Amino acid sequence: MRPPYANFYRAALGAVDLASAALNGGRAFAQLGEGEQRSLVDSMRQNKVEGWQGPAGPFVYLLLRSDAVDVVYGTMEGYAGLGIPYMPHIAPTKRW
Amino acid sequence: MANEKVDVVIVGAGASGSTYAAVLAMAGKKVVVLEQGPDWQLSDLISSDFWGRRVKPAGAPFLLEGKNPVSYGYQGGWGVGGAALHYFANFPRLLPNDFRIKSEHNRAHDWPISYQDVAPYYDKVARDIGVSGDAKAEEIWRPAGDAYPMPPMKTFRNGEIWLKGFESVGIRMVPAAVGMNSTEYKGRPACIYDGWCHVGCPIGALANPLVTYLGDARKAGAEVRPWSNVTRVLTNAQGTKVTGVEYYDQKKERQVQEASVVVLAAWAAQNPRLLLNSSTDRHPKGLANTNGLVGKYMMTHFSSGTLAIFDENVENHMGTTGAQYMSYERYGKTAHKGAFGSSFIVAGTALKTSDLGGFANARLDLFGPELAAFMKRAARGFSRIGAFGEEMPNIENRIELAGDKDEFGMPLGRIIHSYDDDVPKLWEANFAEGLAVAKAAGAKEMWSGRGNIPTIHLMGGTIMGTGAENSVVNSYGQTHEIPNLYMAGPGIFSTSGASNPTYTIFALSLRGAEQLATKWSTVAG
Repeated sequence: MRPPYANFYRAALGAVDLASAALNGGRAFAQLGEGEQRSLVDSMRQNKVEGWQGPAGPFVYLLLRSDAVDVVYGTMEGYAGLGIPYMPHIAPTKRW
Repeated sequence: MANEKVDVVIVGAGASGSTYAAVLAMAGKKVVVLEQGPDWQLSDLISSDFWGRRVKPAGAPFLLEGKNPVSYGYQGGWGVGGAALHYFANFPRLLPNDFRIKSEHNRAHDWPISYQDVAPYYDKVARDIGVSGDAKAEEIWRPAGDAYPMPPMKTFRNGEIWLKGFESVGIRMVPAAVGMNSTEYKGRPACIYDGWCHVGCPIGALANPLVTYLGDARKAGAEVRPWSNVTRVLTNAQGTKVTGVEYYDQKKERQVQEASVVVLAAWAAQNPRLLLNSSTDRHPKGLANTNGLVGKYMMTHFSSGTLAIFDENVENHMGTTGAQYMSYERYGKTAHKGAFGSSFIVAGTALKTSDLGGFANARLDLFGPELAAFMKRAARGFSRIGAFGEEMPNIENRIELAGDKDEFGMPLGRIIHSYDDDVPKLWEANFAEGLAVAKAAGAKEMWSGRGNIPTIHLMGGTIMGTGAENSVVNSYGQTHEIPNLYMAGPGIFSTSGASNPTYTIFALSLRGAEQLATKWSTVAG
């Protein structure tokens, strides 16, 4: 993958919506119900979406998952939610 | 305005460049260090995986090809301190058997030096920058040397819990040697065990270059120029000597820094890229590359991680990102039946939630509510151990210049890397043993950290040897072809061993820099 990385994210999110529309009567990923979203992500993770177009599904999954993990679990709030002492040397003043 | 000519220009302010800078500046040489990235201060090292991304590789990308493309998001650096600004500071050394694989097994190649040539420098580095550990305990596997200047680090339940498992399969674990302070050392404080080493230690308890050799170099007058993107090494008309380097400054303006000696101490992939891009009529294949060996024999380590959940609170947030315990018990090249290559074993790692080492990555298949449930359980009882494996050098694993160029007009580098058949065998053998250890340790759940075979710690590309017929540099890092051009870092390793490379990088850099200082007039004259 080569910078600028925004191009990759645009292509990845576009691929997700394209697959979502194809499988769900034209609805974008954000318009799906939770169960439908999970089903699509699980298929994408295993490279099982037929007609997938764009960056490889498993790679898109890994990258977006990593970012989501950082956002949900990698912040001071995320640590607090898991009951783990954050113990910063220098605490971040902003989450990112 | 032209830059004033200096004695030595060093490209890269990581572990190796910092060591060269310190030795040469303290020897009275005028030293300039050109660093591609920013000039980090300790206060920039925020305890956060998000913020820690700032010290990971940026700049022109490398194109990654082969059956096992090299992943370099974690093993490289960006800015002053290089990868050693965020390394785990595990300080195992290479062992005597690493230096003579050809002689003992008719595989790969021998180093042109022996363990005994490097050992005094391991000891000296330990004194210079501070190493904690128990040398006596290690000496069941290696020749005796000096004691480490500090006692071993504290241990925690997340490390101790594995010990009976290792014992049951006959693996002796000893306190890990680490480049960290178990006590105050040379004015730097003792570690406080909060596990943020991997995004940089801002208190200086971990021996990063800023608080060790680079700090010494600056005190001795070395100048560090950040945001200096070196594109070519320059030579005289006859091609017999290097005369300096071309680089682009923060304003993206071309600069030339003349010097009597050039030391390339950039990343192991970047050094060959620079040599290949420095071709002239006299050196049509690139500098130091008449034999075509520049960029060849790239090597990586791979790790077999065994992951487990215990039915108790193992306090996995406590400790350091480096290991609490280590073992060379499987370091023999044929230690695992049916496989070839050394394995180096570690246990006891402080864990965070996210990023490469985070325990969210212990189950990559989980997302959403299932991941949330796993994270809750893992926060209490998750721990892991690892075995690093050795890849044999293969001439097909290489760096080349690509057709595409970066913003300075320099061709991008392409890293082509494929593991040979030995690697999966060793990888599997270490997985199998890891699961046996986990079972005997009483883990409630245990699994192997599979996926693609990882590629960590890039080495080779400008390997050392006995002469131009088999290598790019001699054992000091001096190129066979151009005496005032030195290479530094893991690129000069002849073979990779299985030990984390940075202790050896420091030791070989100290050895090379001291030789250069001693023979200055013949090299630079």
